[in-house]
Amino acid sequence: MIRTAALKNQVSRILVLENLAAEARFIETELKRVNFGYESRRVWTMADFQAALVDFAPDVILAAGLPPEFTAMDALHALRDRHLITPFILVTGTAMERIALDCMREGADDYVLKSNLARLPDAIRNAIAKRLAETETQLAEQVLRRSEQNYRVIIEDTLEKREAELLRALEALQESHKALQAAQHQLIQVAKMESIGRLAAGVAHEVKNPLTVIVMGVEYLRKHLPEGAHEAVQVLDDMDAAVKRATRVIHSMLDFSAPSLIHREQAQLNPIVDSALGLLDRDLAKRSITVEKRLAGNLPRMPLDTSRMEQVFLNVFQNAMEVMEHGGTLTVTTGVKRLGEVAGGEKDPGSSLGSQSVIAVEIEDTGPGIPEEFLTKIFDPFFTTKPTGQGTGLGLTVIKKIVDMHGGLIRVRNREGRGATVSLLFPMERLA
Amino acid sequence: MMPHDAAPGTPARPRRILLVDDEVVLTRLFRLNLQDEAGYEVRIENSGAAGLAAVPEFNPDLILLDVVMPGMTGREMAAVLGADPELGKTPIIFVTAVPPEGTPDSWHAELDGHPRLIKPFSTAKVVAAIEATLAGSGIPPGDVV
Repeated sequence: MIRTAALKNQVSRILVLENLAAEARFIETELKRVNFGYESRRVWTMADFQAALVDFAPDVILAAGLPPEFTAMDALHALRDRHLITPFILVTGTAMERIALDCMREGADDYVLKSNLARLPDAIRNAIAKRLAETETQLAEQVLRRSEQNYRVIIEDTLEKREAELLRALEALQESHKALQAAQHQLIQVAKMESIGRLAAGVAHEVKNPLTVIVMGVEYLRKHLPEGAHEAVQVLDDMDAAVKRATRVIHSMLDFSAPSLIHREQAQLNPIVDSALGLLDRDLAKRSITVEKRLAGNLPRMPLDTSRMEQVFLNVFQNAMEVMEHGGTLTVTTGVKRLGEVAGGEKDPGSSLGSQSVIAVEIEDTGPGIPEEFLTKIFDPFFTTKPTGQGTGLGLTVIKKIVDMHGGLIRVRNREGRGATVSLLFPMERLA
Repeated sequence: MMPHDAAPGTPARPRRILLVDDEVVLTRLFRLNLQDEAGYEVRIENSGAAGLAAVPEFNPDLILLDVVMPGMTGREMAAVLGADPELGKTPIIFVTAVPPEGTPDSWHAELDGHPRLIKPFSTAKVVAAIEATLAGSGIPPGDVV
């Protein structure tokens, strides 16, 4: 390394490689003659040269006369092996010019003929100036490289931060887009339900009077049929059944269209689950369905229309029962949970609800599950998979309405493997 | 069912039921069935105004009254009757196709405390409601047929 300060002050440390003291004196005389400020050390063995590189730290090396075992070329190689760039000048006799040229090819900076020592001070200055310029260039390059690196780090850092910000913004946008879509879907559903509700109420009123006429007519005819008119009795029975079916549809439609028809009192869900299961006892046994109840002992009370809620459980249990044609297990679990922990709860459009406490009733069947394409339709009015005449297509629509009226959510999903889970979730904070 | 037995010492007479409903076919069949089932004497009127006019003349034991009718509605007819100290004592059972919105308690209030039956219903249930009302036990709120 060049001692920049020393170079600038023109006080140079010169290491002279010369085994003859007399020859060395010629050089010193020449430098003194031109008042060249310097201090010097003379070495002529490899060991001393190596030592001097460390403890003398020369600014320039003058290779003059050396014995065959330590040539100028050896010195130059030793210097480069140490990755030193100290200027290296050959001071040679005419006979040695070829060696000097070889050294120049190997990276020596200059050579001065002993016959022309007057050129030595300039050669030293030039070599040092050249090395200084190179060093400054190197320094400048280093600074530039460092600043480029810093710049890159800053840019990369900024880009990374910006990218993270953009990603966050994108996520937020996607979230709100999803929430908006869900809200829009909900609004469309609500509007659809309301118009169906109004229509249902009107239709119900207009249809019930003629139905009453049929009921009355059937009753009348039944009393006035001649004895043994078995076929006519059968016809009347069929009419009676048809009227009952129509009445069921109308009652479902009215349930669906009369949202304020709810009478709440503080109650617990477990007894309602029990009583609904009790009503289905025989049907469940007939189908070889095992009931597994996991009802939380400390379930909080909540404002409930108990008969409506029983209707909800009956409907869900019946659906579960009907999909387990060849037996199975109906598992009913109640408890207080975080919304995010509940099956399907994480699908809630407002994912921030995840930490909300809910009173949860989960009903699992071991049936074949619900075809994926039906999952979005099962709450639509008049959607049914049952044979004509067996389902009104309003069961789930009505229970969703009842659950909505209790401030609750209903989630349906297929389980890995087999069966479906219906979750009825009542957020605690909405129950206050 | 046989005609209602009157209190001891008074001559037995069938209960008189005034049926007011704008559905003509329904009232005709309804009367046949009420006569068959309980032996009531049933008079039909197909409007609120006609029903109101028939009350002092027919002197019914009970009125089966439709709620939604063109012209005078069942509620309006009940209100006019209710304002009369004598005629206002006649028990009324509303018969309606659509229950009003609200809780069973609020329906009761909306129909001025009169019980109501929801169509369609069987004659047996109507007869049971009539007998319960006349016996003073009434139909509990929420008893939707």
